[in-house]
Amino acid sequence: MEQSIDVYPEQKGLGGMWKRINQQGKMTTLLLFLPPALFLFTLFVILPLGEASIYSLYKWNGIGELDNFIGLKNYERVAGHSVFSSAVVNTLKIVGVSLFIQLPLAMICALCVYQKKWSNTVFRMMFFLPYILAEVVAGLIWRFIYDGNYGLISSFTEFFGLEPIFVLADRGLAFTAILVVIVWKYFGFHMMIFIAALQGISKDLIEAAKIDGASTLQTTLLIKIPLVRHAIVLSVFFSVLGALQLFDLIMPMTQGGPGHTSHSIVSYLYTFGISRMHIGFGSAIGVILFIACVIFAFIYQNTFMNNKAGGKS
Amino acid sequence: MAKVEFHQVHKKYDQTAHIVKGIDLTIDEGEFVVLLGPSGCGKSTTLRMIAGLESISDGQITIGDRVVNDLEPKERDIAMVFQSYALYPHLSVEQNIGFGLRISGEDKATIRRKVADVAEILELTPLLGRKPAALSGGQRQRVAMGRAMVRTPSVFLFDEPLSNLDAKLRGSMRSEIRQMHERMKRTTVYVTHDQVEAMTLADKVIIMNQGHIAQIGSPREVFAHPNSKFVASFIGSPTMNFIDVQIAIADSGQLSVQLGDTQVPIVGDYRGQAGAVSLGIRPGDVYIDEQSGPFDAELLSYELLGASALCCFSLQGQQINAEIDAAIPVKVGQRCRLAFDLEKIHLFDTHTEKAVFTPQITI
Amino acid sequence: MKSSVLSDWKRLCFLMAVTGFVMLPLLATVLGGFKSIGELQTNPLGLPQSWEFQHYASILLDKQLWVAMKNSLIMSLTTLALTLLGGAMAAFTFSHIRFVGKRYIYSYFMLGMMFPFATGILPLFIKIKDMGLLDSYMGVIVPQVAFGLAMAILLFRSFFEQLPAELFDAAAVDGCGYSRFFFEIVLPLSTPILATVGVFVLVTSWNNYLLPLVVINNPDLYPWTLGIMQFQGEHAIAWNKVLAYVSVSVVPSVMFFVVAQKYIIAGLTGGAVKG
Repeated sequence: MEQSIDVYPEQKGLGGMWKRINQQGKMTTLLLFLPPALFLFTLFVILPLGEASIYSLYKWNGIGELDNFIGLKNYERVAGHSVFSSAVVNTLKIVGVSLFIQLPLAMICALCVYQKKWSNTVFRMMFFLPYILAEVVAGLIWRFIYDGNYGLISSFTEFFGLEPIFVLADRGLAFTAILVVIVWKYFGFHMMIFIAALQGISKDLIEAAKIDGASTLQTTLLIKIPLVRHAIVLSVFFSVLGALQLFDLIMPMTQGGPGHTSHSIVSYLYTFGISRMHIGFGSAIGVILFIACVIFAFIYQNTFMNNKAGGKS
Repeated sequence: MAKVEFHQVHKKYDQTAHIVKGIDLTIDEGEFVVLLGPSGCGKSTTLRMIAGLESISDGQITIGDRVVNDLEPKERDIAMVFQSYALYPHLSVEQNIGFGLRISGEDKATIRRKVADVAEILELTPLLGRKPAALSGGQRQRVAMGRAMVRTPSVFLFDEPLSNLDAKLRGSMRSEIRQMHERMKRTTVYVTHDQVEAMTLADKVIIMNQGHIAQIGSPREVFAHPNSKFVASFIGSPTMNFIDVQIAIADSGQLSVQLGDTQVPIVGDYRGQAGAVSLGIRPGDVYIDEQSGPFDAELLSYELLGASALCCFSLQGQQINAEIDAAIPVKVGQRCRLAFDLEKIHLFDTHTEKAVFTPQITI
Repeated sequence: MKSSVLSDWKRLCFLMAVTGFVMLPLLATVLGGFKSIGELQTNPLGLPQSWEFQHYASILLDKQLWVAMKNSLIMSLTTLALTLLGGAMAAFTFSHIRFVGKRYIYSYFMLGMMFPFATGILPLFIKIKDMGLLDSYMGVIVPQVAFGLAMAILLFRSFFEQLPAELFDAAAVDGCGYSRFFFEIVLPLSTPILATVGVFVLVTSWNNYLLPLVVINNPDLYPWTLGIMQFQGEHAIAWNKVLAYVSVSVVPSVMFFVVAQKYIIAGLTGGAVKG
């Protein structure tokens, strides 16, 4: 049999190596399929982040040479800016409202409508509807609702014979009003996540709990909610990341006003960085936001999601 | 034309798992060979190496007179039937059968004709337009076979093709596979863990264990003359009994088996030494013989199988099964005299577990 | 069967209250488009006393609206096609090809899920400007695709990995290489996940505001999200017109939602269960 090795020349040399690696066009496919995505992703997602950290060290308006190196001055200015502090506080408020009002509301709704019934489907679809509307649309709708002369709020004030209240123009109320819209827009999304998880609970477990004598409330608190822990973990994750990047809702409602009291971090970035072409300053905000996200995501995933994060092979 | 040969073939994964440990094997042209073994013995890996679905870590495989180590599956002139059938769910039966032909660039009319021929043979003609989801298990199995047949390869590979079918269908599919082999006369390699399939289908059975070939032979041979305790215990149902006995060799050369106080002379070619060995005897070769049975045993349990019954006896503290005529009246707890068919006993070395005895057959 | 927290009528009251909270603003919006300014002031919520169809009519006859819708449609459909193709191809290499550094490259993509679009928006703007893509569809489409890839790859990969391995073996024996296997077997079998990912990509892209806001200055290229803000800016006090515009612009989203809700929910389920 030894001679048959010799009658098979392709086994040797570079050509043979390539053929061996490229069985069934494996390498060709890899080289055709992966780079487009990798290139786009690197160019438009990863690279801008790196560049943001460079720009953030300069004072630059986006035109002309990048030569005015000012070190960490931009960061100092961001950190010292009272509007930035209020944007951060606002973001924390969003997180708080998401966790303590939105998610419980979503959970109660999910528990009410998770069973597969025709009427439940109708409720589910209605509650989910705001989520698919564009943020700008949601913002405009609520801007109308909050309008002191025309909206629903005006009906109330008129009914009780009060002076018209311009909620969105009120420093004390504007951001609270935005929080209401956030709950309105996003609770349906979290409800759907919970419903999916609740439907995944085996019926046997619920029945076993009943036979063990658990009341409906006990079944809910002791069986159902612990069993959908993974969905809650995921919802909290989405809520926090969503709070950190909220922008589209702010613009149609208040544009950050009045008196820059209702900014989110991103609307702050837009107002003070992009629209004024302060590239360096805006980039510094972006970098701070990025660091906040990474720290949060990293700690959170390691604490709560370590056994199931990001689809391992 | 298509003889398949293995030369010291190894399969390793990541340096740690050694699945196939140096196989030498020749499968003759037109032969129906069954690779048989428990799960994890490397039989499927061996088959997949022939197909080109697994790379060969070391050694060489030839199909016909070509070394195929670095050839792609399509270049090897093989076809394969998979355990789950692996039909393409989105294609009709006709498209499934013709898929390989289409890939290799045959023209439409040829594909249509060849598919129609195969469908005719397998009685799939009325089903050609259906999707696999609309077929029964047996029909899917036939489509999978059709897909293999249409390409008229020189080697057919089957990877446990019947294990997803119920017992009744399995029997009829077995005979269909056998018929297909009779008709096409192609070299066939068939992997299974089911010894009934091996016995009924094979020209030659290759029993594998832990990456090695344990024995090669005709179904009759491996059943009657297992060369190791592993093969003996793997082939045959109910399983062969093994009991620890002593071999005594008298000055005259007379061999005898000693169990406790009982001593039974045996005749044959013994290649071991006096002392402890493992005696194997199939339950069907153990009899109740109240007159001349040499062994005294107590009946522990009785399972009626139908025409026969499986009795478990305690024989000097060791358990032994006997398959006896159901008409013989016995009761649990009863003491019986047992006899063995001495022409059908097997002796295995206690350390190497190799067969060390060939009984002399008197006609 | 009573396994909800609240007893039946309490449950129903609660659901009706939430329904009111969710639906009243929407209802007020749609009805508002039929009212006169004066009536809007006195009766924001109820049915209009006299139905004024001219606001809706003028919106529907407004060329700007249709141009904006067309722009949005072009951008989101192109984004959809490119994201599905690019994402599925990349995911296929992760699910079916073993190669050096696979785990790292995959984690690199997953990084994209973690941080918001806004963080790199300024450099992204500079880059789009340098590439001469400002005020072009491509300036919106390409970054959208890049940002959609991470989720697409995650969902595609887990779906592809669940395809039976024997299918690939069978295709290999049939002489089908990796590329052909992808296009002839994997893609046709992946319609559910293509639909799910597609719905999300489409909705995200259709509703996108920040990116077009930064990239597009020419009103002729405005997507509807920018169009609606511009319209609102021009008719700030004419709420009835704005509400009519909002109602009309919402119709495609709602229709799409009704048609595709099965896939939206499937996507959430997949995301929730798989994490």
